[in-house]
Parts: sequence; structure tokens; C-alpha cells
Amino acid sequence: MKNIKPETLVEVATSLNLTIRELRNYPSDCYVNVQAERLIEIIKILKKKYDVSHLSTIVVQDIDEDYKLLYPFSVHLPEEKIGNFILDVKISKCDPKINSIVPEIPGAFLYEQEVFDMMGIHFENHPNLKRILTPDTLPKDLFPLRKNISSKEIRDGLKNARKNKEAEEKLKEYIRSEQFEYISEKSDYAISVGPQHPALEEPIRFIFHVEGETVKNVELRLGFNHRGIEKAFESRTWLQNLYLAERICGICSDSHQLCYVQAVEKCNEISDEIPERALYIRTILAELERIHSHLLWYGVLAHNAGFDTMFQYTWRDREIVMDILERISGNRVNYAMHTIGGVRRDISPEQVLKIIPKLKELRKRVIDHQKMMMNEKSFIIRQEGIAILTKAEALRFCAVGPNARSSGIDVDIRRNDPYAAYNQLSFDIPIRTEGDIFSGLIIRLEETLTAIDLAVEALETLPQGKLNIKVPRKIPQGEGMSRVEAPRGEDIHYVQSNGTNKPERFKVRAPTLANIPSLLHRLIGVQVADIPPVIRVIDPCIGCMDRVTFIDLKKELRLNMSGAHLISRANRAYRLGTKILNL
Amino acid sequence: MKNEYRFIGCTLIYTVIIFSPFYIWKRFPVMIDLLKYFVFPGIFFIFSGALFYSWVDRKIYAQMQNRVGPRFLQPIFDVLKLLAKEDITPIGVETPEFNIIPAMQLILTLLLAFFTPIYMAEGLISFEGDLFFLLFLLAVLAGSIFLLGWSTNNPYGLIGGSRAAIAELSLEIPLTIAFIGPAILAGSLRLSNIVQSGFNLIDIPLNVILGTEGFTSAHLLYIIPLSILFYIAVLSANAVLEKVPFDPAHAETEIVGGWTIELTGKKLLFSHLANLVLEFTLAGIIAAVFLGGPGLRPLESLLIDRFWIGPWDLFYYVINITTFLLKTTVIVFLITTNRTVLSRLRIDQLVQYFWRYYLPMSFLALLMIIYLIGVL
Repeated sequence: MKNIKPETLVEVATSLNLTIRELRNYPSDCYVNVQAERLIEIIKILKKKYDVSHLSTIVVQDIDEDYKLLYPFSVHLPEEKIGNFILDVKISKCDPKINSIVPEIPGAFLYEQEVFDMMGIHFENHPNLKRILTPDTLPKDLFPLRKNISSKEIRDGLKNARKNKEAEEKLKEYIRSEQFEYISEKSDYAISVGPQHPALEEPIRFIFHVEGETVKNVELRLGFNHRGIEKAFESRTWLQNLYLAERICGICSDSHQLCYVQAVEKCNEISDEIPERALYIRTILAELERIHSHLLWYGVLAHNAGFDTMFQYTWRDREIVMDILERISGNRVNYAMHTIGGVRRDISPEQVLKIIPKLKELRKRVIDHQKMMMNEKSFIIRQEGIAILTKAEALRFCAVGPNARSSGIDVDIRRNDPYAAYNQLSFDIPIRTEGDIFSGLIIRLEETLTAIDLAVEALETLPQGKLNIKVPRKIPQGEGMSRVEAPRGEDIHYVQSNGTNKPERFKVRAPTLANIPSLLHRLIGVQVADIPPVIRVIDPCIGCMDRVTFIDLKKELRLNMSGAHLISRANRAYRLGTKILNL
Repeated sequence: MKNEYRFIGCTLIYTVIIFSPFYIWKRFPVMIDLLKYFVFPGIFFIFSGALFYSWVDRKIYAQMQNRVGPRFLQPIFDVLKLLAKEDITPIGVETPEFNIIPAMQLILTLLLAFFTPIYMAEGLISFEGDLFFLLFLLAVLAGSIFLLGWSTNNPYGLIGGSRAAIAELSLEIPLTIAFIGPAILAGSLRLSNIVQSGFNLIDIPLNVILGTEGFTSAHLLYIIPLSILFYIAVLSANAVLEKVPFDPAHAETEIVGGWTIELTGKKLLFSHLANLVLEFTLAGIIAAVFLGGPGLRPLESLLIDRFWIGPWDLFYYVINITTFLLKTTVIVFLITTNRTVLSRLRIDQLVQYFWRYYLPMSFLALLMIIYLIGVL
């Protein structure tokens, strides 16, 4: 990879005849204005000259007369740092069309589909531009994230989506064709995995076209968990959104909250003023979350491979770290630790004394797991050499996190774009080059150990000081893009403020979405029996990817649900269900 | 305390039922066949044994995984629950096959179980060559699984059914060779003759120690090929029962139960019970072929001659049943250990294991036995 010096970053822009709009938090973010016609050309030059190939997401802003598209590319800077080189493209509202960049960056496949689905921007030459998150039966001109679409229109659209007979018929025809045509033409039969399947913890649908036991083609459908969290962000205040950000995902809730908080801090330009102690507590939480997420992951991998004993052991030992998290924050899943300007809760010295021995105990157990999994031959032969993702492919499909690291890409946001207290702690990042499932397992096992060490180190060197600084309720006009190394890889949040107490635009790209294109590529050619472990290897977190919230469709209210409320709702639904069955 | 009384009471009633045939036999000789087939060692005992071993299996599995595991009566409640469930025949399945095959499986496995020697060297049904008839029935069972998978018309069912057929094709030859070894030693293909011959893993050392006529310490060499064959037979039992590591036909996390996917209510119960009875039966047959079946034959004459005064019949039966239960528990324990410590193989890996490793291994063991017979 070629390194670009920060000074040359400006030169790069000028040599390409681009105007630099903003150098916020330089050299981390660099916004550059690009004309729509020159986009492909510039991406080609960037790719060829500077080895820039990782696109994080595509953000769309709805501004008066125009749509503004942001393409954040990762640029390699010296000292192993990575900066955001953000191409800012304007297109007019009357004809929202732009050339697709999929031929250049195949990993942008899903991002463009998502933008089309949410904003209705047409990407020319995109191989398969269709709705991916919202129902296929939604009216053709309804694009939920456009500013001129009210939430009432979306609700009506969703309600009518079921009654839309024409679209329904089309869908039925499509289902019929997928079941029967493929039998005669391309493959022997089609197997549907999902939305409900024991190999999946969350709803997502893959349709595999199978010949014998070999997968020939894969189709994907997302959106079974989609509730429009990005739209919901725009109607809540900055502080209320803290809790919504946390509920994007269950497993990596802390990462999402941290990422959101950092983006807002960048927007507010207070990133440098956060107290030291708060940064350390953020690091500790992030690492504890990584431990429990990785333990969960390799437990479920063992379960998918039919190695239930390993599954039971890992999930038993995962309780140690869950207890620690509960001791610190009072909760097992949603910790509510971060706030704009610091953290909300302290870790007392007594807690530190109790936590460290527990973590050391957990370290021994993880080493045990490592020994067990590395030596069980019947387990290894299911993982080794299966669904290989080469380095070139991982770069092409913009893979992130452990998935990329198992293919030999040396990228970790903790080191490359340091946040919280990571630049003050020492840690090494495991890299493998095989790119199969087993290397992913090795990486996660080693990362768990690193995370334990990091958490212990951070706890031992926890500095004294304030927990947070005061931040005004209204955030000044501006924008902020923040990245966090979630357990599953690079998580990116973007906020845009219009000077009020509510965000103008909010965008999440969870790591799972970035890993899906490479997953689809890996699935072709594997055996039916290998499908669950291969899907598992990217650690799919569909909740993250689709973004969920509770919204009452009838009363147009966001629900504040207590435990009792949820139970009563479940009971009501159950009674209703039994009534219908009895009829 | 109350529960303990209840438990003791139940055990007593159960024992009375099990041993009733022996007493009724003396007074009403006509009743004996009926009681034999329906009470002991027939259907009633087979079912209770099957449920008991399902509990043993699950309990050991749970304890090895650091869990509590099911209560003793849990398998019975599972059966009752399945009986109460709605019996659905989905649209699109091939109706006569789909409805008949689960019941047929249960009947087949019960038929298999009648061959198992439980309280004496002979099973309920016994004839020259019954060992091969058993293997034939196992093949029919695999065929029925294949048919059931096809009749579901479900991609998962189809894959599961074809995988079961492939697994059967792979395991059949190693399993057959494993059974032939002791049969050659006994000079008969009849299960009861193999049991009585005394050439098995437990009786050979006992005979050698007690100095039975015709046994020298050189006979201990037979233990090597016999234990290899025993190991292959236990692994094949894992494959026949579709348990980890050889359960690609059932793989819950891949193909959602495979051929059982559309079964509900009674049909699922029949299929489930058939599997439990099969586990009991396979454990019994492997115990008969490799561990000497019910009783400890070399010790019997010793006991009668030196210590025993009193009604011989009852004591004989009690000892036979106890040893039968102990030996089968050992085999169930081995099967369960396999499924605890190993992970699931893919279907091609299963085929590879059986054809590439177990088949040559069983051949070698068989040659070793033939060579030893020639030398000794």
C-alpha cells in the first residue's frame, strides 16, 4: 500500500483539479468537492496512483435543490494511519442520476442499492438496482429518507404495501419462477436459508441455487429487521439519540453509541477536550464488549459445525465478562455509558480490584478454548480451506474487521485511526493470510486474548480526573464522520447538524453490511453443509445492518416500553393468536 | 420423602411386571408367548429400555457439557407431549408414503429389537443366519429414511434423505465385516451361537484366567482385532443413529433436521421412538457380538458348583438382565462420548472416513483373526 503524506493530501486534491471544501479534524477527514461527471475518472486515478480502494459507505444529504453524495475513501497516511478522503458530489433534484461506481469498486454494490432504496437516486449501469431494505411492494416513488416525505406517508405506504395487488402478484410470480425455473435451467434446486433458519440468529434471506451439493448462485434479501432508525434519528434531540444509537444492535451496542458520540463531538469540535479518564473508560467498555462478542461468535461457530460441547463451554465462560459489564454499567446488553463530552458512570477502585482477577481467570479459560478448538481434528477439517477470500478479493469487496484481517489486510481502526485511549496503550493486531474460516477463528481467538490484556492494562493505568465536560444542547452547524473498530469491523457514523437540537441527517454503516458483498462471493462454490459456518464467518449482525426501533404505527408515537409493558404486549399478541387459531 | 416412596413403589411395580412372565409361565404355559412378545422381553421392556437409554444418553451428554440435564422421567414426558401434538400432513407431500413410513420405521426397529438377546443367549426370534437378517433390516430402515426424505418434497428433506442413503452405503460394509469377525470365531452366523461361543472381549480373558478347557493364554491375542472391530461397530452405530460426528443427514443447523423436517405429532413420535429403540437394539446387538451379551458365561458354572443353593432360574435371569444392562450402558456411554467430543463431519468427509479408514482397518482385523485361527 502506498502511503500519502498529509501535506500531499492537499496536493493530491489540487493535482486532480479538485477544491477542498473542508479539512475538519485534519488529517483524519478531508472533504473534497467533485463534479458528478468526473467521479469515475477520479476514482480510477485514486485507485491507480494511490492504491485507494476501500469505500466505507455512501452518505446522501437532502439539501434544498440538490442531493449531496459523500463517498468516504480510506487513504493510507504515514505511521500506519488511515484518513478519510471524502468525495462530495452534488446532483440536482429534478434528475437524480449518477454513474454507478460498481465496475470500479465492487464493494459499493450494496451501498448503492441502499441509497436507491432510501433516497431514490438512480445509479446508471448498476447491475441490479432494486429495493433492498424496504418491501418490494412499496409504491415506486416513495423513498423514505427524502425530506419531503413525511412519516405519515411512509406509514401509509407500508400499510398499503400489503394491499398492492399488482406488486404482490409480481412477487408471487418471482417466487414461483425461483422455485421451478432454476430446477430445469441453472441448477438442480433452490434452497432458501432464512428469514427463519436455525443457522441464523437473526432474519436475513439467502436463496441458494444448488447443483448436487454445490452452491452455484446466491441471492440475497435484507430488510426483515428494518424499522427506519435513520429517519427516527432526525426527529429526536441529540441526547435522546444516544439511547437510540445504542439500540441499533444488541451485541455491539457500545460500539454504536461510542461511534455516534464521537461523530457528534467531531461536529461540535470538542474531540480534544474529552477528559483522559473518560477516554480510558470508553476503551475498557469497548474491549469488554469485544471479548463477549468474540466469545459468542466462536461458540455459535462451534454450534453450527455440530460441536455443541464447545458451544456450551464458551457460553458458560462468557458469563464472566457479562457479569463484569453488569457490575460496571448495571446492564448486560445496553450499557448507556457514553455521553456527548465523556462518560456517564465511573469505575470505582473497588470495582477495578474485583474485575482484574476475573479477567485473568477468563484469560485462562480462553486459552483452554484455544487449545480445544485448535486440536479437535473433526472440527478443523470443517473449517480449513473452506470459502477462501484472497487479499485481492477482500480489497475489491471492501471487507472490514477480522474478516479482512484473516485475508491479510493489515487494517485496524484502533491503530490506524486511533480513538478513545488506544494511542496510549500497546497492543498487537493478529493477521493471517489464509482467508478461510479457520484463520478467521484463529484471529478472533487471539483478538479475545489481546482484548483481555488491553482491558486489564487500561484498568491498571486508569488516570484520575473528570468524567465529562459540559456540552450545550444545540450543536453548531457542521458535520462529523467517526469510525470505530467494532467487534465485527469498521463501524462508521455520520452526523450533520443544522444548528438546532436535532440532527439534520444521520447515517450508520454497520460492519456487517460491508462484509456482505465478500460473503456472497465466498458462498459460491461451497457445499450445502458449509453454508452455516461460511455465513457465520463474517459474524453477521442483522439487527445492526437493518437498524431496528419500536414505532407504533397506529398512534404515530415512539413507544417507551417498560418490561411489564412488553410482557403484556406479548400476552395480548398470544391471546389474539390463539383466538384466530380457534376460529 | 414422598417422591422417594413413589419412586420405590414404581420400581417395584415395574419389576413385578417384568418378572411376571416367569411365574405365569409355570401355571399357564399357553400365555408365555403372548407375554414374551408384549411384556418381557418384548414391546413393553424394549420401550422402557429405549427411553431409559435416551435418558442415559442425554444425562451423560449434559453432564459432560457442564449442564444439569433432564430428569429421569423426561423421555416419557417427551413421548406424551408428542402424542398430544397436532398431527399435520402438509400439502405437497406424497401422502401414502409420508403417513405410513414413520409407523413402518417403528415396526421395523421393534422387529430388530426382537433379535436382541436380553435375558438369555437367544433373542425372541433366532435362527441360523439371523445376523445377516439384522443387517438386511438395517438397510431396509435406511431405505425407508430415503423414501421419507423424498416423500416430503422439501429441499431440506430431499438432501437429508439422500445423505442418509449415502451414509448407509458407506457404513454398511465396515459394519458387516465388524460382525463377521466374531462370527468366524464362533463358526456360526447365528447370534445366540456367537454369544455362547465365548470368543468376545469379556469372555476371552475370563476363560483364560479360569482355565476353561480349550483356552490358552495365546487366545488373548484375539482381543486386538476384536477391539478394532468393536470400535468400528460403535462408530457405525453413531452413523446409523445419526448422531454427531456422523449426522449430516440430520444436521439441524444446516438442513433443519433433514428428512424429519415435515414430521409432526404422532409421525414425529414414531420416528423418534424408532430411533430410540434402534439405539437400544444396536447397543444390545453390539453387546451380544463383542461383549458376550447377557450374563457372564465363564462364571456361571463356577457359581452353580460352589456357592449357589436355591431356585436357579430366577437368579440366572436377574444376573443376565443386570449384565445386559451394564454392558449396553457401556456402549451407550461410548456412543454419547463420541457425540460429545467430536464435531459434525460433512457428507463427503463421512464417506471418506468409512471407505478410506474404517474399511481397510476392518479388513486388516478380519485377516488377523483368520491368521490367528490358523496359527492357534
